[in-house]
Amino acid sequence: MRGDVIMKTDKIKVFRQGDILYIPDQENYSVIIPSDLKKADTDVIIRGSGGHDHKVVNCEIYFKQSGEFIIGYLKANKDARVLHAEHGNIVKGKLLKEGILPEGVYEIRRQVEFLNTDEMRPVLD
Amino acid sequence: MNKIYKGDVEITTSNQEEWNKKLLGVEEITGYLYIYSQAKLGSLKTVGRDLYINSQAKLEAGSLKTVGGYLYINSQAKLGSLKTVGRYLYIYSQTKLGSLKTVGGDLYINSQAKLGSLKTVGGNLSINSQAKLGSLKTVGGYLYINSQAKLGSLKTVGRDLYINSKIEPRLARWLLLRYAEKKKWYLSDEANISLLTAKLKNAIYRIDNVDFSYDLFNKVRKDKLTAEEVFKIENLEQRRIAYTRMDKIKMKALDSYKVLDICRDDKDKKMEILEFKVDGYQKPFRYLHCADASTDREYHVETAAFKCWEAKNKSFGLKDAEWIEEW
Repeated sequence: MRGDVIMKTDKIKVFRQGDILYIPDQENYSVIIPSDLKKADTDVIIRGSGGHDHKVVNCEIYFKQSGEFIIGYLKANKDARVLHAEHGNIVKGKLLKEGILPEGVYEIRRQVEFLNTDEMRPVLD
Repeated sequence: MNKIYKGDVEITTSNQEEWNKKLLGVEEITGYLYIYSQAKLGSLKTVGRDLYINSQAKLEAGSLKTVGGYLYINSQAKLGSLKTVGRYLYIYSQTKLGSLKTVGGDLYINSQAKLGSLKTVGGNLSINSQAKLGSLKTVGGYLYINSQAKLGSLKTVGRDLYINSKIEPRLARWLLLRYAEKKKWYLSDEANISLLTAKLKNAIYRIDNVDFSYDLFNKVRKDKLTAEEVFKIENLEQRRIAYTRMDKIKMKALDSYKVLDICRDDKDKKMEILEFKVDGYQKPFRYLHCADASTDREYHVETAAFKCWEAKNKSFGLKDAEWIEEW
């Protein structure tokens, strides 16, 4: 059991697409894009194997240079969507699957593995 | 004198009678021709631009010889005289194009197709369904074979080779003789053994669209890895495929194998924590065994956690989370 409804409202709300996590700015978790980060000139969050990129539409990406989990930030504008070849809802007539993100600011995290050797490694695919 | 219709034509159920009358005796349409309904265009010889035959439509154009642009066949079409498609040809419905000799651009075959006279494809050739292309001599671009194909006359391929299906042994031999060192090869485990064992210098080996080194490719496809070796694969997608292909009886050989926790995620998919020991390592190895929200594919994510939800949250650096949406 994961706890009751009251417990759930205290948890951080997250959106996930495969090995990428989007945490929106919310009451119990503040997300602010650091002022020293520059808007990236790309719509690709991360390049996956076999050309399976994590792409975004109607969004601005701000990459962070270092960090164990947080790889950057996202400003999702109106009709923001996250696209991937395999992770998402099928949209008729479109090659990539989609997920819809509500408008707002998000922290972008990458999934990691905790190794037997006490090291951490980003999920490789 | 040729009777020409200048402009585009779109034939639907509401205007089909009108158009069938209007185009009676017309030999050439200079623009696009879209067929969403039934059309008999017995005199038509040329379509200047694209010809699109919708999935619910039926076209009889027995005299048509040339389509200047793209040709999309999604439904029944009688085009027995067609000789040339200027640009791409997409076949999504059983089709016989017995007179077709040239496709200027790419050719995509997604449904059974008989193209017995076709000699040249200017661009890429993608075969995704049984196809008979017995006269084809030249493919200008990439060659993608994802289904059984007869290509007994092939003489030239311009670019890389993607073989994801068994091909005729003779064709495999010919491709090896001619292109073993000259082309880049992309081979899946479904390809002929003769191709997989040819030790090509410039080849990418794939299983279920995931790239592998040649050594690992062979071990996975032949199920030669122990369960321990499968779990040690660093790449999560390769690990997933190796696990899928592995005889699960091998799991019993893992030292001190245990399932520490089982539960269901928010999409009602099973999650579990597996643990086992490996010689030479003090601590046991632990994995979150879970299913992908969109594809149901099973993954094993290495973890230090003992509980499923703890492992899932921690893999993103979280203590706890409400998973609003997962794709």
